[in-house]
Amino acid sequence: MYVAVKGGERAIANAHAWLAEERRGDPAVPELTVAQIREQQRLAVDRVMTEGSLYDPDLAALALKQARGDQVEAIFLLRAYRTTLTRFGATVPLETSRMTVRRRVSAIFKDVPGGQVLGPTFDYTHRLLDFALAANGEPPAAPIAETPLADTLPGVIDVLNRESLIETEVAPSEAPTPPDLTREPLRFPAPRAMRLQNLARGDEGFLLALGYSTQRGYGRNHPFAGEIRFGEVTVEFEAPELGFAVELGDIELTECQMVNQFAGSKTEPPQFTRGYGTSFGHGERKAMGMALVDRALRAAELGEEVTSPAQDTEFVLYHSDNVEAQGFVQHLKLPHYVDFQSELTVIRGMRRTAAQTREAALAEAAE
Amino acid sequence: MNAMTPPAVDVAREEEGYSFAFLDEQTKRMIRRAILKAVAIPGHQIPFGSREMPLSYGWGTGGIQVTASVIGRDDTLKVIDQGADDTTNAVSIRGFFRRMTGVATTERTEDATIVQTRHRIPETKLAEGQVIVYQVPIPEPLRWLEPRETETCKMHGLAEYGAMHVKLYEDIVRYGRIETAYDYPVMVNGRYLMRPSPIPKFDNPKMDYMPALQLFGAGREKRIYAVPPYTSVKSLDFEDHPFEIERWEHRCALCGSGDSFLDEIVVDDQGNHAFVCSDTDYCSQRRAEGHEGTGMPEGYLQPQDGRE
Amino acid sequence: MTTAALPGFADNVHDAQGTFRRLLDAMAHPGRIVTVPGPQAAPPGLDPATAALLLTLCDGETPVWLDPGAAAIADWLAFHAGAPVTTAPARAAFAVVLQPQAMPALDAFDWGTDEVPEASTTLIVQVASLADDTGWTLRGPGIAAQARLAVAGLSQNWFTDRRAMQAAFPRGVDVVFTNGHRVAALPRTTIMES
Repeated sequence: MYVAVKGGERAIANAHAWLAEERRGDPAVPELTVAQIREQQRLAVDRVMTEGSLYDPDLAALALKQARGDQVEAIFLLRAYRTTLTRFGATVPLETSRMTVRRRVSAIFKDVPGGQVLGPTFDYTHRLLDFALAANGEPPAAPIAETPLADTLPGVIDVLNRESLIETEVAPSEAPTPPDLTREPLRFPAPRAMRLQNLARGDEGFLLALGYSTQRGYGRNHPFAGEIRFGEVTVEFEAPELGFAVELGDIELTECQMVNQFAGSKTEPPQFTRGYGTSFGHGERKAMGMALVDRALRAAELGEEVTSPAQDTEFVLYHSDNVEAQGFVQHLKLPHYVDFQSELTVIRGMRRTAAQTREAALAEAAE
Repeated sequence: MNAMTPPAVDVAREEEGYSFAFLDEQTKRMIRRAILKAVAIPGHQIPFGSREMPLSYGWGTGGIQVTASVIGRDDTLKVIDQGADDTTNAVSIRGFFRRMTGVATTERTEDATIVQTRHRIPETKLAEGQVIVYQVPIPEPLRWLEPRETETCKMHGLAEYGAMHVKLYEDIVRYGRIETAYDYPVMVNGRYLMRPSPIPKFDNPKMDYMPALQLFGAGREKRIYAVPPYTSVKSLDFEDHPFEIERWEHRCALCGSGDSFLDEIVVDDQGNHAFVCSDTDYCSQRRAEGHEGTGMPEGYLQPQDGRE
Repeated sequence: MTTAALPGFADNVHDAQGTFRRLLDAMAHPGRIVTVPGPQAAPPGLDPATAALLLTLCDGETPVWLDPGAAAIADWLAFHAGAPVTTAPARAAFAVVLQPQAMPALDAFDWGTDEVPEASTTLIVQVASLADDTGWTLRGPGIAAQARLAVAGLSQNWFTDRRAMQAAFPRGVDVVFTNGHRVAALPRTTIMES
């Protein structure tokens, strides 16, 4: 039987075997363990958990191992696993002001209550390849502060709030339970809860580029990094039969509160507005990109003119998901020869018609 | 594979540890409700909570979810891509269902109760009681004219399809003909403009008053739509430029068919080509009945099994 | 024994699939009478087909409206399907009618909108008899030439109401009639003649 592009079950099985061999690499080099990835490639694990919408460092590390380090493929693996899980309910909203902070910086005040906490950041490292790392040495222990941080560090934004200089966020009363985009399709106009959920799952690179575009004038919204914090927060679940919340455990979380200028409208006095971004684990770049885009997407709601890609809700929300995007872009690898044959037939027909028209015109001119 | 004896119905065993047909029961119920609405409103796209499948978006996740919600133990499934049962993705999807349902599979169109397809409708006429499930990449027929969902929703609500007629007429003015070759827009039951999925326009007439039930699934775009049996499906055209399908000056080199959709195969590096049926089952059944074509050109090297 | 404790399908997965497939067949061929096996037991007053359809289609996402004759099945529905009961027919995804003679007018239910016609109520109407060789003449999608359907026990106005609804397409309600183990559907596309 034949078709130009062909692949039987045997070909697919063989391809998978080859892939597994490639994944392992040189067998003379010791195999990575999932624990090594979880501990030493932690930021990769964090991104996979964030965009995979599942907080499970071990499974995310396994996905990375299986995907040969390909992040989008690992995110896809984690999500496909996530769909099969039973849903027990929604947790109580996270109280990030009670976060056990490991890092907290604000760009809008020199000092803030509780202090600026630099924490484990790349920010001021000089990006020089550390050849000592190639020798696998243990790093010296980091010094420990004499006085521990306060248990609760109030959000920097709260300071502005006392003067009513920044908008107050109120939970939407009509829909106390946020929509679940993994169970229902996007609908427009998309409420902010739906937009934030989409952005939280969205591709970091896409959000980074869109956020960047707002800074360069495509939907400028004058952002300041009000606060970025990273640390551990407690997840609580209120079982209906208990009537009170029980602690499920702690997760690592990054949060970014962007503060943006707002000129005011007919009904609102000039004040600062917010953009919000978050990620599982330590993901500041993602959280900041997301916060910029979140604010940009509020343009219509705040009466600003919608002129740029980052402000265009349908454009952003429909193209942010890298699992969707990679599938559709890569599906071009599948055979399309039937449609191509149809196009060939049409193009050949059109060329024939054009040639006949030209010949007729030439013949007429010759007469 | 021996072309003269198409395999009979092939029986598999269901994978343990997964739900039947992979999807959980609540998801199936949600999709089943969407399918019923789709049948009741022919050609109208129903948004549904498309799940993240273990196969890539754009590779048939919509069709797979529809099939998974419809299929039962007594079904016999056929999966084709480009009309062929043995293209890689068809093999992969068929393998998925064999693992997840244990249902019988077949290559013979007339033996299938469900046909899942990408880009073709089989040449063998589908019969009443059969279900054909199309994999759909972009369900919205107005998408190239209006990228916004909010706008296209309104246009469907008002049956405001003038823009599509204008687009096709501009083709005629510019090229003397409508240049859309596949995914050619149709009107369903005189009410909804619908994308038939990227089938060649050659297949469009088969949709009109088809005795089988036609279901369409778009996983990434999260839409389901349907055409019930015996429903009017008209390709858009104009009185002075009636709808036409592709025709070939050739016949199938293998079975001699002069009325099936032909694939063009490049047979050497001089650009010479041969034409063979895109529907591999149709072609092999014709050959089994004794039909013959002129044969493939001399010197043509048949691809080895299992090599891309 | 309360109705909630009655057993549902013998095999949730395959019985629901089988029931759905037959309902799909009915919906795709308006007027065609199909037979469904039914659950192991049904609450008093509920025919096996009515119970099977509810177990197949309803869950926590589908508010169900019950007519006075069906009010007693609320517990059973909550236990087996987790489906909430609504008292507003216009909010219902499904409506269960056991007293067809006294059922509300069709426009009391949700017809959806021109843009979202699928956001409409599906009516499950249990009737005293069904026949496909007499009664109304049906035309439209799913019907090769014409079909017949006779339904016993509807009010005088029902046919007029249903005919009036045709003009509102794509808005409207889809109706599924049940009787014993039998099911016939009347989607909104079907054109009815007396």
